[in-house]
Parts: sequence; C-alpha cells; structure tokens
Amino acid sequence: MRRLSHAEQYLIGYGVTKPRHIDLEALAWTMGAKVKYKRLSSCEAKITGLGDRAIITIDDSFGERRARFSLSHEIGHWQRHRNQILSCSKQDIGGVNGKGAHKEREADRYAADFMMPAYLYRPLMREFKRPSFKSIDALAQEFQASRKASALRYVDVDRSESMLICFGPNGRKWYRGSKDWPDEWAPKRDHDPDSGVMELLFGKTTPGADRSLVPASAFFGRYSAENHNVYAHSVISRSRGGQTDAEVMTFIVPQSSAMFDDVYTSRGW
Amino acid sequence: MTKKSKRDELFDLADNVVDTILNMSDEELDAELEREGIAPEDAVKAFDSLVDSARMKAGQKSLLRARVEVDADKRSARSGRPRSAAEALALVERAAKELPQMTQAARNAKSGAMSDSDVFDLLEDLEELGFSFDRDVET
Repeated sequence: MRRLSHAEQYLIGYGVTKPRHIDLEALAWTMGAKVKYKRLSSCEAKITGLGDRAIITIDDSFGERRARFSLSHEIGHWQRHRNQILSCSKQDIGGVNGKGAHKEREADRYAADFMMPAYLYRPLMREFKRPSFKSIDALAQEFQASRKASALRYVDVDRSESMLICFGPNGRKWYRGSKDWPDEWAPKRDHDPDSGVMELLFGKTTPGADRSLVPASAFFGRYSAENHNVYAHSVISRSRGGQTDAEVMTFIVPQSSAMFDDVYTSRGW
Repeated sequence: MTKKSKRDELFDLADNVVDTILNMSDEELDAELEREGIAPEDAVKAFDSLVDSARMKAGQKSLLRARVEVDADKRSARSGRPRSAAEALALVERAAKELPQMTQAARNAKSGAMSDSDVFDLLEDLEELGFSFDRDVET
C-alpha cells in the first residue's frame, strides 16, 4: 500500500476529491501564505516569510498554468524549507536529469504532488487506453497544468513502462522513464532520422495528432531495439525563449513489455 | 488566517485512523481484518466512507472559508509610506541582519544585484508580514 505524500495528506485534509477542488490560493492561505500576482523583473516567482506567515508573489505573464506550477513550487518551499534562504536558477529548475539542487527538486516534487496528486491523477490516467500526448493534454486540462508538467507527472506515477524524452537542436536534452522502465533502455543522445524529431524541430513537418508505431531503434541504441516497436508521439514544446529554444518532447510506450525481456534475462530474473 | 477549531480535533482522530491503516502492510491489514471478521471489500468501502464523510466535508467547508478570506483580503488595499530607493535598500539590508531566520526563495532567479523594484517589493512584503521599520535609518 502506498503511503500518501505530505502534499496529498494536506489536500485530503481539505476534502480535495476532484481536480477542480485544488484552489491553490485558498490552500496557501490555510498555510499562512498570501498570494500576489505582479510582473517581476528578476525572477518568475518568489516567497518571503517571517515566522508562520509568508507572501508568495507570482509573475503570471508566462501563462496561467505555468503560474500554477510556480505557486505550487513556492508552497513546496514554504512547507519544506521554512526559515531558509534559497534561490532557484533556471539551471536548477530544468535539471530534470538530476543536476538540479536537491531542495529545488524537492519543491518541484511537492508542486507536482500538490497540483496533480497521484490519488486523483492515476485513476484519471487509467481511463486512457492508448496513452499519448492526447491523454497527457486532457489530463493537463483537467488539472490546469502545463503540458510539460502533466507529461512529467504521467511518467512519474505510471505503474507500467513509459518514457518522456526532450530533444533540442543539439540532440537529447533530458529524459525521464517511469519507475519500471529499465535503466538499460536509455534513449539515444542524437536525433535518429527515423524518429522524425529533426523535421519537427526545424518546422519541416507538423506534430501528429496521435501516437504512431515506430521501430524502437528510432529512439534506442540497445542491441535488441531493432526487434521491437514502440508507440511514440512527438510534440513541439517551445520554452519561453521562443524559436531559438525550440524543443521536441516525445512520449514513448513499448508495443509490448516483452521488449524488456532481455534486460530481465541478463539480470538473472 | 484560519484558526484551529473542532475540525482540527476531528482531523487528529481521523488522521490517526488513516495513518494506522496506511502504515500497515497488506499482510498485516489482511490479518487484522480476518481477526475482526471483516471482508476486505467491506473494509475498503468502510475506509472510503471514512474518507468521504465528516472529515472531507469539514475540510471542504474550511477551504471555502479560506477562499472567502482570500477574496476579502484582495479587496482591502494597502499602501506603504513612500521611500527613496536608497532608504528602501538600507531598510531591507537592516531586515536581513535582524531576521536571520527569514524564509526567502526565488524561482528562475536572474543573478546579480537586486533591482530597485525588487527592493521595494521586499520592503512591502516585510512590512505586510509585520516587520517594523519604525527606527530611523541612515541613508
């Protein structure tokens, strides 16, 4: 039986049984934190606290859904890092491969738990029999989260095998697999011509409406990849820098979990 | 902001029950249910019922009350005493010295010195949080 996280316990304490119940401002208020919105020149969001009261300021000019994640992130700091002075750089935030500072990852994890609690997210994701960015976007809409936050949440709470890969013009930027995705199946560092990622990155094609079946070797260099297929769905995910920061996110699930049999055999399972 | 109430007492009771159940392994839970002569399906329903019952309703009501307080707070305008940028910076630096246990974090922060608007923002936040700048400051 999974133990509920601190964020989830807090939400249950306030009777949150549906995504629309997650009133972040009101929840912050119950923690002694007031939320303000204004343009900020030096950061995207900040928190100042004294004793058991705090003021969280959010720059919502980057979009409502991103602002919700920023607010949840600051709530995470308030719940986890009270009486500490921290500063989160862009490198810390984007360091999803483990480069980010421990406390920033902790605040991000708290934010994901608070905005998209697994006890609500997982039952809704099970309603989608063919996972792709269509289902990730539907979940993002339900929880008023960004596509990227929803996609990361999907692989984090997925109890089967799925992976999210982010590509930039120079190749793979980061990736995250679900808990059961074997480490031995790490994605290629470079764009493979069969992946279609380059065409998307440079605007030579548009994203598919749904996932498609492609050879696993388009994304994975493992010796047995040629024998298997994966369902892949790639979308353009421009970061806030605009055209020059173009990214492609690819969501992958294996056609069959037999794809990983060789790993388990080599591990002696 | 929200004060402790009978709701908290109810939460303590419900939390103890929920924590006890969540901390048990599946085997321990099955054994406990068998001892009590309760079918696992009935226990699941009872647990759901517990979670859905008074605790949930009290929590939802409390959250709605918090929303009303948030909206009321937004309507109450605040304005601090006008200060020069130099005076504001001196006050913020003084606060940093006098408040070593202050909580501060900034997401996607740019490196470098604080801008004037950052300083005014911080001063406003600290005043709203109750820090007194009554003493004179040399600028």
